[in-house]
Amino acid sequence: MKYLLTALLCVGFFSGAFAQKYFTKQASIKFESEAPMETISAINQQVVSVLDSETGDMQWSALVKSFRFDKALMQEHFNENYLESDAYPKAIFTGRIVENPPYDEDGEYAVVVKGTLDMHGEVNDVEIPAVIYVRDGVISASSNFSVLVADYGIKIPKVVKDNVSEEVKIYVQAQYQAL
Amino acid sequence: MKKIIGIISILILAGVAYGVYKYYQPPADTASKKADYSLEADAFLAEFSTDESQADAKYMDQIVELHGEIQSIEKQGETYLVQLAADNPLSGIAIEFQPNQDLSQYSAQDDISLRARYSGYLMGAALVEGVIIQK
Repeated sequence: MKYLLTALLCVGFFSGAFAQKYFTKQASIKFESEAPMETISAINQQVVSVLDSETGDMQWSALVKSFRFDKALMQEHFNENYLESDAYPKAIFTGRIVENPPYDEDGEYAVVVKGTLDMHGEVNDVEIPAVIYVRDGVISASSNFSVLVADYGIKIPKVVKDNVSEEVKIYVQAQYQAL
Repeated sequence: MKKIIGIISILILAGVAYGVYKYYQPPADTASKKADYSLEADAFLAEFSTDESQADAKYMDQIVELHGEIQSIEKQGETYLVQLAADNPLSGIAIEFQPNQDLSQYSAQDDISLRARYSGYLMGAALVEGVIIQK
């Protein structure tokens, strides 16, 4: 908790009026690996996301061990062999919306979020397309993007190269509430 | 010789069958697991307030039985997400239940007893693979 709060402090989430800070503890991240032999997917619905509507700063934090798979063996391999969740328990995106939308006007705003994605001990600069939805004062966000597993130091053994894709699709979604 | 080939064939088939079974096996049902810890939600959360790192290490991947009051409940996709009541909105306990769990009879402020696997701490303790238990 204190690490997360420290991170939030660093990006100034608690520096201004609380009315412009939004958060959720039930954002979702789904990933999908489409390989010739099979498609593997998992979902995490306990993702924490915070948004500062004044600055456009946002952060997404996910516990790696909260991803749910359909098959026990895949969940085990994901945690033990690929993401090594005991050593790297969290994946964190920290970034800023490039052109912050008007949060006081209902609408659907296509935006770009620039920031860093910290996963499996590797930190990379990323630029992610996203959509911010404002409806009756409720702010939501969604995004689809892809990551190369090699960028995050995740090695796919040759024996399963037809089962696990080198590129993984990520789908994220959040509905915020005022802090 | 035929007998030996027959035995080897049976062993190979058994190995393949076991491999297929393991490959398609769904995650184990938490209802069939024995709890490592059983306590009130307040007491569980208090351990994190005292020493987050110690509590995180103690409970990681452990099966925990908790009893507490529901602060919010929501069905998202095929699973129910429950937050247990906490004084601080930046803390609390979040549980994702197994898809086979029907919590349609529960609502905010109801008491609930549950068993789930602790998966870490972000803005509060997170537990997954939850099941309802009768106390």
